[in-house]
Amino acid sequence: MIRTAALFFLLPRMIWAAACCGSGNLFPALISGDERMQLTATTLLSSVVAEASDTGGYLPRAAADSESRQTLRLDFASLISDRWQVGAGVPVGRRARSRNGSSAEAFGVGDISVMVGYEAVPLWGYSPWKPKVVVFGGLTLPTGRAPFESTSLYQVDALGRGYWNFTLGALAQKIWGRWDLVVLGEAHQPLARQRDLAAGALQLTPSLGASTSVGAGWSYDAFRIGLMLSAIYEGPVHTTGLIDAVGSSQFSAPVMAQVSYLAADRLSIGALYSDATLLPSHGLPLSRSVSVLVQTRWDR
Amino acid sequence: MKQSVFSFVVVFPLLLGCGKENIAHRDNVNLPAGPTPTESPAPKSVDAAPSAPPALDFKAAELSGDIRWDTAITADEPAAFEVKFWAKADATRAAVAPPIAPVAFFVMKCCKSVTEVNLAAKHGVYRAENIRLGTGEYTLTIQLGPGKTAERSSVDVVVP
Repeated sequence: MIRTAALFFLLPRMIWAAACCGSGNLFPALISGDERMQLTATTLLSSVVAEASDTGGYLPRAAADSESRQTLRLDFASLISDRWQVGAGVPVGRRARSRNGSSAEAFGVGDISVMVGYEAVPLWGYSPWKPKVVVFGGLTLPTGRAPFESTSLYQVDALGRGYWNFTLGALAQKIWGRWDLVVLGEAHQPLARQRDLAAGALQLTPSLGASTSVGAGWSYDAFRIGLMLSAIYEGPVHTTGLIDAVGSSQFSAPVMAQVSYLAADRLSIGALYSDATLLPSHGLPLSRSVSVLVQTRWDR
Repeated sequence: MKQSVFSFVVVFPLLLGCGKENIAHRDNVNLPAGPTPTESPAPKSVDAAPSAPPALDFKAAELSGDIRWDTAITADEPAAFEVKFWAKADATRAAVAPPIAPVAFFVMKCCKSVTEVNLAAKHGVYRAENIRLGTGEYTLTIQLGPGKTAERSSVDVVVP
């Protein structure tokens, strides 16, 4: 279905970039500047344009098949000490699909996430080479309905993944004058889950997933433009009990273009275009999306 | 400035989706006549042609069975089917009830996801309704009773 869970978990948070001087954030759930708190609102509009098969081929969606998603996501983060921070993100979304004259839509809460971050490599002085590094751990709660819990046509009510999901990763950021570079890596392990069906119990055990992103940007005055390339892998789900089987893995490599604007001292606005059809993928629906972000920050 | 920008970003998507949940409908344009998701298709006979080989085979229970869909299954409408069982030795294929209540589930071949359906006894056969599957290839398994060791028989189903 997927937009996979990893894509949903990471990309909306990675699409932000500061106009300058480390005062913004590349990961809205994390504070990477000198702020005490920050609140980010993200509106994402996406459209599924193709299916990537398990073997890697593309199957474009037919003209009579339209699937879209609108998501509003609020991310809040706050320092709890000089180097430690906590945060949370709440997505609310609408999914709709229209195909061959039938249509369905649903509105609801997605998977809520919480995180803790630690500034492992702070930048207290100028360094021509040393990046700022924040390591983070996250937990995603299965508050959204999972695909296997769906009761709707086209599974449009599936706004979550259905697993408790632990994430561990690091974000490195370096600025050289007008140029900046960001590298992010994370691995996540969803917890196993049991489903009790009339036919028997099913144990679903997801495999490890991981993603990495590399982005670069160029700033001028209060504007910044950037490009980011990501690689996202979701391991297969092992099913035991009623049936013993191994599902298929998913991989996508979305390409993103960003523009951001420092509208006021503590207010930034950004827009992002993402396209998952440009590079090879397998095992999931492929989307193009547009996001608008607004972030406000509070001083220490 | 901050308030107005935030208001736009927050309120816009809510207005798009507010109050809408799990709504499915069928437009009446360029479509063949068919049941809407809220209409129950009229039950049809599931008597198999006596010469047709049975789709389901339960050796231990000495039963055969057939599956009949109300209409050809598609991802665009909820589907329904009926299962009929009969004694293997019975050439007339008179419907019988299995010794244990049957259960049914689909397994999507690509990702091995399992979709359960409820089988309810009705007019001597077992009926499953409101089946909503995405496009793809599935295995439909009919199982006599719960548990991995219960006797089961399967058929392939392709959902266009």
